[in-house]
Amino acid sequence: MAIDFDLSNKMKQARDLSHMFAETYVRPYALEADELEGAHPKFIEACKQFGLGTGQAGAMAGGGKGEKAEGEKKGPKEQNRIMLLASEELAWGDATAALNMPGPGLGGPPVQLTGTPEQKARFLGLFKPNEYKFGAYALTEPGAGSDAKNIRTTCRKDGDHWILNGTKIYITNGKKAEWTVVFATIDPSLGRAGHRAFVVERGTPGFTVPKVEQKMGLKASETAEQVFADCRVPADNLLGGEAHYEKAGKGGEGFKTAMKTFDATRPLVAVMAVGIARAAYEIARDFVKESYALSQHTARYHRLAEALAQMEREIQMARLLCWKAAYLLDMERPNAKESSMSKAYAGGMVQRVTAKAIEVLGPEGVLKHRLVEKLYRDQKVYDIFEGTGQIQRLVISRRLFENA
Amino acid sequence: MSITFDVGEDLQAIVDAVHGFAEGRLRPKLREFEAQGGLSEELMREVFELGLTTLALPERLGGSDLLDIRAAVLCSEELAWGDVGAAVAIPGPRSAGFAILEVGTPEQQERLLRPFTDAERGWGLRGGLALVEGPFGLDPGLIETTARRQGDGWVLRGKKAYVQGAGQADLTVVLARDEASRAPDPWDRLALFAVQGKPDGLVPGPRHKTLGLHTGRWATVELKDVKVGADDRLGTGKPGELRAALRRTVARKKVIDAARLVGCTRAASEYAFKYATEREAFGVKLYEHQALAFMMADMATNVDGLRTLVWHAAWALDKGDEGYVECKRAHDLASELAVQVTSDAVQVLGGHGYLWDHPVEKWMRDARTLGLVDGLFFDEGE
Repeated sequence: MAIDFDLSNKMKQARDLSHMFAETYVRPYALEADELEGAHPKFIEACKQFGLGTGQAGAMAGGGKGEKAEGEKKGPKEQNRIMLLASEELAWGDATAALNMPGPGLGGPPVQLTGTPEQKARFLGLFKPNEYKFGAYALTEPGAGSDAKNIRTTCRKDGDHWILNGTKIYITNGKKAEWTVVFATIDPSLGRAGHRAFVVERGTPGFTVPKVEQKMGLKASETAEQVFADCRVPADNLLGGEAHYEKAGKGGEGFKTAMKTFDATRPLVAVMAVGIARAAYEIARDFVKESYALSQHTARYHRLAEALAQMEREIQMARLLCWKAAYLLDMERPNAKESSMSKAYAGGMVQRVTAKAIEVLGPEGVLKHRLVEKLYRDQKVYDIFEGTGQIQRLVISRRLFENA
Repeated sequence: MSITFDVGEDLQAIVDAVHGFAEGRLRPKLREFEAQGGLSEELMREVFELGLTTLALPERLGGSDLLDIRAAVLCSEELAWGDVGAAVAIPGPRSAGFAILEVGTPEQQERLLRPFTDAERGWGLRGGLALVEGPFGLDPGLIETTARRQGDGWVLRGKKAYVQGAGQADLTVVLARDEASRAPDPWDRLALFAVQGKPDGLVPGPRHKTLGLHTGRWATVELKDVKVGADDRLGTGKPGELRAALRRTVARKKVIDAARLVGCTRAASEYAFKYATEREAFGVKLYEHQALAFMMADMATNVDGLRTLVWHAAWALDKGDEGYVECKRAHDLASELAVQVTSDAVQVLGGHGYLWDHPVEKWMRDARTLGLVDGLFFDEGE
């Protein structure tokens, strides 16, 4: 083994296919989707036509062991790196594309990681190519965001059901999802040990979606509030089954499920920020090339050229931090610190780069048709969801000083 | 192969050995090196014995074939972690070697670089690279040093700026303009010449006093009719050769400097992290204060990120790409973030960090100095 940055054939293929898709079916409709506040019909049609979705992506959490398709065993595991390469391209097309790809979405990894074989078959088997169906993931509450261990949604056993009560917010595809992985607690005073994860299906009695949010960016993606009022969830939908939580002794399995998901999803989200930043950089670069073709001797041109170089450097560093986190995951090594590093850096980087891109375009930068204003609106949440930049710094610093 | 962030066992063993040397022999004496402006003879012999003076030389010239540029950046990071001042003072062909490897004929490489691996005197030999003439980078229009044909050989006349180890170099590679050349491309009117030894006409100016890296001994060098042989003009002189070689040379220099910046930055951040676990304020350890913990999280992220950028650039060079863009990118971001991280390291130590009792103030000065003081960049669009 040696340091290497070549892409394997599979990686190249994933990147190129994803780029082609993004270029043909995503980018051209990005602005319209933003105004529609939903996935563009052309995009939906293309997803169905090509059987695209996040169904296969369940394995992105480093889970799915023993679930690999026949013949997939040969060669080193590259799944997370492949996912990263494809995701950057997709986000380059439009940040909402990945969120609007049918499949279990963020709900996939916890089901993969902790679901029983029966649950995996039942919930993941639901996603068939050529259908536009979703899963969702509900952790955040009005009073528990980054401090996810303080969730207040309760669950109590009642015969062969669990009764859930509480409110979840910021749920991607929370209205249209077939099911949602919902985190609740048997007793808030137990902290992490009290957490349980359920798969709540749409139509479950007591489960409603009262609101779809209006947002600054990622407008084409659905963000919903979910309310559980004496919501009766079958005991079979407790993720991993009761044995999973008893086995754990001290508990905390529900919380660990949430956190393990982060180790895989943080670099994935971070690399989407890289895709957005790259899109902004390319628009700014092309603008400078076209607008300054005859005035490259001006002071302003030189200032812009340096600004572009700075953007490019930071994009590349963010990308490599993401690759490293995904590499460690593929090698099945701990990567919590590296995941957080990629996310912390990318979240700040994309803010700087998109703001700079607007500045480079000057007055043109804030005009809708140039797209950079949309990128600037879209990017902000990359320093917020999947753990804010501050949470990432908490994780990193705790790792730095864990033996102190 | 595919994206891999592992060093491999064989190379890791070497890197570990270099780390041990840096920790045991360089770190404890960093203030001495700074005061003396270099390494002691004893240490120079030691680094030579360890093969660290000829890291970048191929096996056919007495170097080690195991060591590609990826290996060189890994070792450079460790040495600079010990002390970046010591790292730049390590003897050997230095960047002059890069130029000779990039453009020299096999005969020239053998003749000029072989002595650096000589068991008897190799330990004390140093190369010097004299390319630029002012703070405006490498621009063929601004090279005024001339090379005039005389008999079989050449006569060099002019003034070179920011030459590391000026006055000490046993081999100086000089960029000069061939007076007689009318080549259409201005780059092709230039050539690199190897000046061996310390001829009378090669006159170093006084050593610059610098912000940091006092061991670098940068100075102006004047060439007063320095005679070199016909075979001391490097390369074959075919069109396009020189510019390509210069870009590869500068790329190599930049990626090594970037690796040193990573080493220096890592040293400073680790030093600060350790201090934060020892020092208490307001009844708790420093690292338990979130304002500092977050700053340190950013320091660690920057060090890790920069290292991957340096690895990526070294990989590009190793696979035969020109690599200038990748190396410059790594170097420029390393330069920027090293300034930030070393300054933050001083900040963590507070008033103590400002004093000579701790090395962080030195590393902060060194980090700002490294990679700028040689003035090597191309003034052209990326």
